[in-house]
Amino acid sequence: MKWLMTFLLLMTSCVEKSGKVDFETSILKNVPFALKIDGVFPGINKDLEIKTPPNTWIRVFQAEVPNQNGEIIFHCVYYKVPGKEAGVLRHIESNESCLGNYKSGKVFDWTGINQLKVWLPEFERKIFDKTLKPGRFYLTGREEVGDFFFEVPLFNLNLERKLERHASTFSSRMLKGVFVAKKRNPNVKSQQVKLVGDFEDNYRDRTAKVCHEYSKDCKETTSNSCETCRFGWYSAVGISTCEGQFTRFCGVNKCGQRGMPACPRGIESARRMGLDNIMLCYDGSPLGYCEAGLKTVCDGKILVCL
Amino acid sequence: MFYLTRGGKLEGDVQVRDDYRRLYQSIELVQEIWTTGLRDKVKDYLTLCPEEKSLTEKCSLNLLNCLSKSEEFSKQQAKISIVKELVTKASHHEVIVPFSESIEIEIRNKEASVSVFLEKSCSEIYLPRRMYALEDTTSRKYSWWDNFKRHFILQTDTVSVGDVKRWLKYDTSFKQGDEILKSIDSKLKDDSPILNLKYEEMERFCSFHGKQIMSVDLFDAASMHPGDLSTDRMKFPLRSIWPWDYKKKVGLIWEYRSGKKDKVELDDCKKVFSSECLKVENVPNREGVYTWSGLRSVLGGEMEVFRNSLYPRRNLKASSHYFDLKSNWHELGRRAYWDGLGLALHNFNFRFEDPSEVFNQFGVTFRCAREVLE
Repeated sequence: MKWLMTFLLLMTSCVEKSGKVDFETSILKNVPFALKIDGVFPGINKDLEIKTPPNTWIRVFQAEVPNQNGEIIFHCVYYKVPGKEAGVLRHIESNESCLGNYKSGKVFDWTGINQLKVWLPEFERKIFDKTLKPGRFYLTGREEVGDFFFEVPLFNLNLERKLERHASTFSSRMLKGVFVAKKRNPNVKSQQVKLVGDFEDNYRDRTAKVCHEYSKDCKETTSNSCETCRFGWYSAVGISTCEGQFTRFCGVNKCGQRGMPACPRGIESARRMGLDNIMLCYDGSPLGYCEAGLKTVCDGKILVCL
Repeated sequence: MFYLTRGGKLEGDVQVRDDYRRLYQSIELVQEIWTTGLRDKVKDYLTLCPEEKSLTEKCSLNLLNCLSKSEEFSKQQAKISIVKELVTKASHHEVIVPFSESIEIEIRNKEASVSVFLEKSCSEIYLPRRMYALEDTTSRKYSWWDNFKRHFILQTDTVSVGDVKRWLKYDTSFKQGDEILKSIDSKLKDDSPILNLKYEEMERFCSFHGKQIMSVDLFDAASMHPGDLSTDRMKFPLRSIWPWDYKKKVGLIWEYRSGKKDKVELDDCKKVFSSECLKVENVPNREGVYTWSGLRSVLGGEMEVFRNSLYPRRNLKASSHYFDLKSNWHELGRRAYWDGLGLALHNFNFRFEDPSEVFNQFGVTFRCAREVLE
């Protein structure tokens, strides 16, 4: 009798609905590699069970996930809020955005869901429960056989980081300094990042490539692409009249030399040295400094040393 | 283990799901080992690498190598394979956020396998945002610079022989690579500082990693004692000559110069590795003290070159084992000149004080720094 009870107990604990297993497996095989999560239904709040609107599909989120060939595939989780019948969790995998689509693509349904609560990384500052860790998403609720708790890591989302003395310089993700990707298909030649600039490029020879720039009235005229510079990048004092808006170039920093950008001094230091409060780039501006014997000159684009 | 579905059939997806769960736990463990070494929570794995000496080292490729060969680790966790020792922007595929430097490994648990990129940022520090003095300590003038609107990350230590070997393995477009490899003394260990590159080759090394050669402004900021840390906008610049205090008449070197001490001992060499230390046994390393910001190798040890935008002919930290502890070179902000082309005496200008001994060849090392955007 004791053996029979144990066997029955074991059987019960091992029984899992195939819909649930398929749903969880397809999520775990894909969503942890997401580069971006968006489209969260505004009514989702970690403290509250999702009850409204009843009998309606709402989107929990959309994840953009690179596949083994490096192409972006869209993964959405939808929830049919319970009405007279229990709710349904649905995972959709699609080549196109699934923001407005809860039907087409590869569909995995987990039925019989009630009392669903969702935690997403953007809620993490409010998380006080120690079982919930930052950078992951959680689904909790009740199904026929009891409560469930489903945890999914989101390895690649950038989290907020505080840079200060003795702070870690690792990039801030779920696991600091770690990026996780699906193993690449060896038969598909990966597209390399298009890298910009040569080792010899420099401002004096007009070969330096701009990777970030602002106009005089503080508008971003070249959006930041400095991470694609092949040989690093450096900041220079541009014509923007707003604090902290630098012009940036790809290449080896030669600031301070004749014909090269002046080395940025920093606005607070420059103010102590008599910086004009309206213009930042002008001949003699203390916002940059040069080799002894050279002076700062604004060439119309940046502050240079001549 | 296979689970039963409602219909009573074996469900292979359960196995796959659980393989992925296990795999993700292993990634967390590998990250912990990578960032902290085999200590604290993961010290149970110490026994798996009995031969490995760098067990508690952070970002240790040797440790990863050892775990990748351990059958026990594969059985308990997942199989690790090292794919690339140095991943830079040049070898990234398009979906990977470009880091400056990282290791690519593959982690496999049965059918589930992923590529994991581990950043190599254990030997870096963040330069706190504040005002800093600009001129060197021998100048009467002073001025300021600040980094309130910029973020700088500096290497704590100088570049090693192993770093250069890895760079040359991957920088295939650099034509002088073979020549440099041949010039590296085969007896040197991989963790020894590299001492025989030309300045342009150093620049190439840093820029290949998306960085710049360290400037004197950043080096001084991170090594000179800041005095009062409660304010980041001081009224007067402090240009301390020691990393351990902003006062001049304190500390090890002052004691030697003033005659309070006369014999250099092991403990002194751990702080500043001067010429006397070449005769002292069992000095564990030549890096010396940590500065307020976490930088090392700022006095003594090896000579180090910088980019000096203000005074290009003051680009060399001469404080090193070529000079005895009483030498004036053992001060922060005091710099000699190196032309960056060769390592004979005529390539240097030590201005007021040449080394007391005659050396056929000197060694010069370097380190890199990078600006990051938030």
